[in-house]
Amino acid sequence: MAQKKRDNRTAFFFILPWIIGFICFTVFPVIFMVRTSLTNAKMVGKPKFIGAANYRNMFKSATFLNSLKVTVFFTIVMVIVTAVWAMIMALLLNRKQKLNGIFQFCYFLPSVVPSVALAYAFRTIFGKDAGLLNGLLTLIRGGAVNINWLYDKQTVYLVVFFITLFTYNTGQMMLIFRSGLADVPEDLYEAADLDGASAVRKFFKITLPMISPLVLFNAVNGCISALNGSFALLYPLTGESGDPNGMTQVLSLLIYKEAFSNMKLGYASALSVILFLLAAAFGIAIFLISGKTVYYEN
Amino acid sequence: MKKRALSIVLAGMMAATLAAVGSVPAMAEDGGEVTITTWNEVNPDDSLNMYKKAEEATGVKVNVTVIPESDYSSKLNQMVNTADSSADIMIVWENDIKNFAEAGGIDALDDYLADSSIDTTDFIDAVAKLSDGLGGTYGLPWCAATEIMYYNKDMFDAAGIEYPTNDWSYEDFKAAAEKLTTDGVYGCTIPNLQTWWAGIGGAGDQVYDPESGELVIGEGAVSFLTDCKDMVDKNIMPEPSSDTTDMFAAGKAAMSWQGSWMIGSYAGSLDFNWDIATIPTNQVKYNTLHTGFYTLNANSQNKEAAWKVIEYLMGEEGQTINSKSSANPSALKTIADQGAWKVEAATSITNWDAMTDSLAAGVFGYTCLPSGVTGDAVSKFNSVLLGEMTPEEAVEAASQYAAETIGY
Repeated sequence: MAQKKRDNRTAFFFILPWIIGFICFTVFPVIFMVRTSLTNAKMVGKPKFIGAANYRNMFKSATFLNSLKVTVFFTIVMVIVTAVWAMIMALLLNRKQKLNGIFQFCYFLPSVVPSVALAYAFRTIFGKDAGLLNGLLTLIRGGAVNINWLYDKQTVYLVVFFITLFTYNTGQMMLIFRSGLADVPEDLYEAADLDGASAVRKFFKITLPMISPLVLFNAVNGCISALNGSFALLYPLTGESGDPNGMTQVLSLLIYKEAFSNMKLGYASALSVILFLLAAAFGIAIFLISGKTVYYEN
Repeated sequence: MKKRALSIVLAGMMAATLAAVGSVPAMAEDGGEVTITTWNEVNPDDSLNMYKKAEEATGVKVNVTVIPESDYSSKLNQMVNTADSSADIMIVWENDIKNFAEAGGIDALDDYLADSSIDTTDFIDAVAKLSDGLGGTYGLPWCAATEIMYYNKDMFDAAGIEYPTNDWSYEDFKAAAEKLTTDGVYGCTIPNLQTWWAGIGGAGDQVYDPESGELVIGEGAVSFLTDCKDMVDKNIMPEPSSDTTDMFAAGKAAMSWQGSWMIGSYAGSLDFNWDIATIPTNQVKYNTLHTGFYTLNANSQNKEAAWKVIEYLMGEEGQTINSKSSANPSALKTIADQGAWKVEAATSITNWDAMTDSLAAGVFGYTCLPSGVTGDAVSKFNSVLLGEMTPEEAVEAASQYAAETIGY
């Protein structure tokens, strides 16, 4: 009994640094954020307690309601697009072929480019009058191509989601899927081959169930990344107002704009609380949906 | 022997190094040391570096902290919020000075000015008005920039159109833009973050109400947006895009409304003949003035030294160097009249009166509003040009967002 207590104390001692960090850098900021969201804090001046006024005003604001809609749409589509792409890349890398290491390096390389630099590079590529892509299309077509990729409501989402394929999040997903695919027992495929199963059938009946815990992990991680990390990609790409016409103004952009352009810290904190709740809701929803679909061997 | 000689040389070098290091704070010990915040890079030419000249003139060591323009206002707000004393002099923008004064983040300068050679009655009228209601003078304008129209003389010659004058009407501008449009060349560029407001103010809207601090746009904005949309549809003006190229500088647009500070950038760098004129007059002659104010951080530990530096920078020599370096006139009328802001490298400019006329017509407008509000409005104006909103919808939505934000 005394030994067990001593072991527990030792274990607690080892995780103490993490607990201190968690309290200082996660718990305290969350409490501070909630508290600030109940005030009219600006960047300068003394804040006053205003109760739930920020939340009431938020739900009357067309800008916020649009941003909420864009955030939900952006998160769902981004998770699907990046996960599917990462899976395709991982499946290709899982094939036994020469130079696999080089392919893996090449697929992962864009992921280590900082999002901001990536966004600026793509902004240049997708320009209208001086864009690289339009220039290339003009050469191929032999006539002027002036597609306004990032400002046309028909193409902006296409471009933004295309760019997300090159972010760190997608590269990370690919590596995780890749490690999972390598662990799928080969005899399952051999048995399926004997039964004459097609490649598609093998994927949906063997591969996907076997790596379903990783799909769940990537979905949750991708969601949180889309909610919080999209700022670094979208701010240099479409600006803090989420051009065109607020179509890309996700909540993280709106929070930045309210806090650092309008100096409304209380309101921005209230928006952050909503983002926090949204991330939690997405996480819970994914776990609920995955309850019946994720297969654990043990 | 060699070792001993080497030791002596090394010891000598160390002593020299220590002496050299010691000489840096020597100036600080004599005249003090101050730090100033700005968003502009310091001029690399020593003869045009006003901070270096201020050091020489006052004996105060001046450290310059350059903060990128996109983060400048929020960084200063954070400094005031946390009673930061790392900067003694802050160049504060129009939309922040009132908040900083009310929060006690900057000192009133009236006591200093009482014994100073700076003549505050010499400031251009708009600057003097900006201090109204603050209960004192909290900042001194470092310069007075304005908005003007740049035009490509070669394109005007080729089209056989007379050059713009300072009494050009808005109708003259539209007619010329249409004639100047050819395949691959636009008649004019799209208004930028600054000059949207020149167009809207010129069309008769107040833009900014100094009494209430509100954004005031309506029929003028609708009218100007309708005109711009028409010009985009006719290919006279490009539609908004992610292109970062300056169409005027690239020789792809004949006219462009931009800040006067672009004179310094264009001087000697454009491979065509160009000149300037005032923004064409629509219902009223309108353009926005731009400046920053030298302010004294209330938490500074070096106020006397900081004031000495401000006094130099606002004096004739400091203002003249600033004008030569930035191409911006002084906000002090007698110094501006001397014309140091007429950048020598801008050899193709003949109509320098455009600057003085613009300054005379200039007001502090949209720059007094939160940048999130004006940025949001410009985003909606761009949506009109892209055909995603009507001008009426854009004006209503921009006003609605401004009402939610201002006075929070």
